[in-house]
Amino acid sequence: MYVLMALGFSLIWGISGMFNFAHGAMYMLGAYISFTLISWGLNASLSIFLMMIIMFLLGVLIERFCIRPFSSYRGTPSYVMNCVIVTLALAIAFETAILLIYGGEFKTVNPVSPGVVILGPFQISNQMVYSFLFGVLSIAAIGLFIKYTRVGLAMRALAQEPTAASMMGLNPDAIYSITFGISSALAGLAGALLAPVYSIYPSVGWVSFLYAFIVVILGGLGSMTGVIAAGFLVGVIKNVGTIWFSGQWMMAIIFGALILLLLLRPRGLFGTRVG
Amino acid sequence: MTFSFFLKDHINRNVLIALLIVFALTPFVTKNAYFLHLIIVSLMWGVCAASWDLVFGYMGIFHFAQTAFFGVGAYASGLTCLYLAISPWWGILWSSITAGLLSLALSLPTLRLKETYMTLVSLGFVFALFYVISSWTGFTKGENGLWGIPSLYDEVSKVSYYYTILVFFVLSMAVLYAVTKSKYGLALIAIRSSEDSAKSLGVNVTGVKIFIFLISAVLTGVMGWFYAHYILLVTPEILKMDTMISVMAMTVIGGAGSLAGPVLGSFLITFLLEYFRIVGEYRFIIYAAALFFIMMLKPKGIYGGIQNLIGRLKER
Repeated sequence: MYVLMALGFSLIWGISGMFNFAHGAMYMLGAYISFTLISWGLNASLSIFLMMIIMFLLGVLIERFCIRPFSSYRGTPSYVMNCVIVTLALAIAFETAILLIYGGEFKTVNPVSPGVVILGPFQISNQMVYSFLFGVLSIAAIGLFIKYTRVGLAMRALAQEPTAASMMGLNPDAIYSITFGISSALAGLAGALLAPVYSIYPSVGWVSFLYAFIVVILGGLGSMTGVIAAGFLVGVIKNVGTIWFSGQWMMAIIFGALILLLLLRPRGLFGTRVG
Repeated sequence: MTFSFFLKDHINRNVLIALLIVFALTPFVTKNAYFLHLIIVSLMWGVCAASWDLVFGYMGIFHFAQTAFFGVGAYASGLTCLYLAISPWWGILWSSITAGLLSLALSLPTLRLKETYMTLVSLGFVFALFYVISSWTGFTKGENGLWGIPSLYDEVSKVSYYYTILVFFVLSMAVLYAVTKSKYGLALIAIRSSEDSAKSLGVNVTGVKIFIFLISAVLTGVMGWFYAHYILLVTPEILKMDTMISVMAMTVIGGAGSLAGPVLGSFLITFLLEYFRIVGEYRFIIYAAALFFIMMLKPKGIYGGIQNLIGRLKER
């Protein structure tokens, strides 16, 4: 799941060179939207699908009205700053809005299919299996999309050489919109899939945002395989580590390791470009 | 932002002196403790916002660690006073040293890289610090916070605190002003305009960045010290995102890239929040909306707007 979250984040960072601080909010929104749809009695898979469409549209709208006004600064540090501030403002606004609508208490989402699978010595709930399969499928889909479609090709071209790409007749704004939409949908998907496993609350997005960024830095910017590998690594480390340390200390340890990593190998474990 | 500040640098000395006299005389006019408290808080956050702006507006690096420096300053002094029973005045030393060391720990690995790494790593840093402080219950008392920090003055009125913070405020502003006017300030402008050309002209880019970051952290750490001995209670809450968002809102709404802007923003936000308590829940929505509109319409904030107005009036 960290992979899903991190992929969307890395996608925006890699392609348009900006940070989306609303990414955590997107995760949270995805979880709440699918929670609402399910509570209306919709089928779980269908509601996740609907939620992804809503999140995609929301992402496109955000790009159009909040990010594009700054497009003349693109490529300069002040572009990044403006985007950081605006997306942070968005994140705060979404979080407060959800707080006002749903209240601050923890909500638990009913699992799609109750029961457990016995796998050797481990017991895994059906929900985990379902989330895992859904996650892997969508990661594969995104990978294929970027690799084999024209839009994916355009995205890669823009990431590498924005000027040349727009000279070849690409419309960068449209591609950025699509990227933002896909990224939001992925974050929302991660939120919806994890909601039954962990409970949801309005500020839930920040923690997952944090993990997403650990994964992206660890995996190296612009490397999809790196992000996937790092996502699994962080997941394993976190869950194995909690045997010895409490979860909160684990966070501090991961960050200590991250700062060390940045000192020694700034491009991440698998990255090729130096940030 | 930066450049226009230096070009249009008509901070009127008379206006400054007049303001200083007004602030110095305020306690003689009103002894209303609540009003004085609001000014104290505004001045305190004003320094934090202005030193954050030194890194954000002048250097062009967005980071989240300002609350970390503030909180660490507060905890450093609070803990040494509690465990070693030393005079709170010595706390300034510990606060500034720990905040400075923290800033080095953060800036040495990350400032060599692109600005964006600082943004992310500082965010993680604050979260990690928050978790350490709130779960290390044996040492920092965890979520309950540090109680019983000794106060600076034994009196009930806030007048002594008022003058203390006023002195520290003026000193901090003088330091910030001196930094922006020194060769480091010029190097900052060079770095902001074009990092590569600055490098090629022999500016030690990383060194300047680390130095500026250090100054900003130490000033904030001292404010943390003041907070600890003024409020007398430090909880991990001050490390939360909310505090950082307030500091950011103060800077951006007041006007980034200037020294007066963040202070203006700090006064504005502190007083508005106190007098419109009813908004409570909606506070962050208002922040968000204000940030959003200022980013869209007037990136220089309120102070930039005032400067424009003065400029236009002078033209007539």
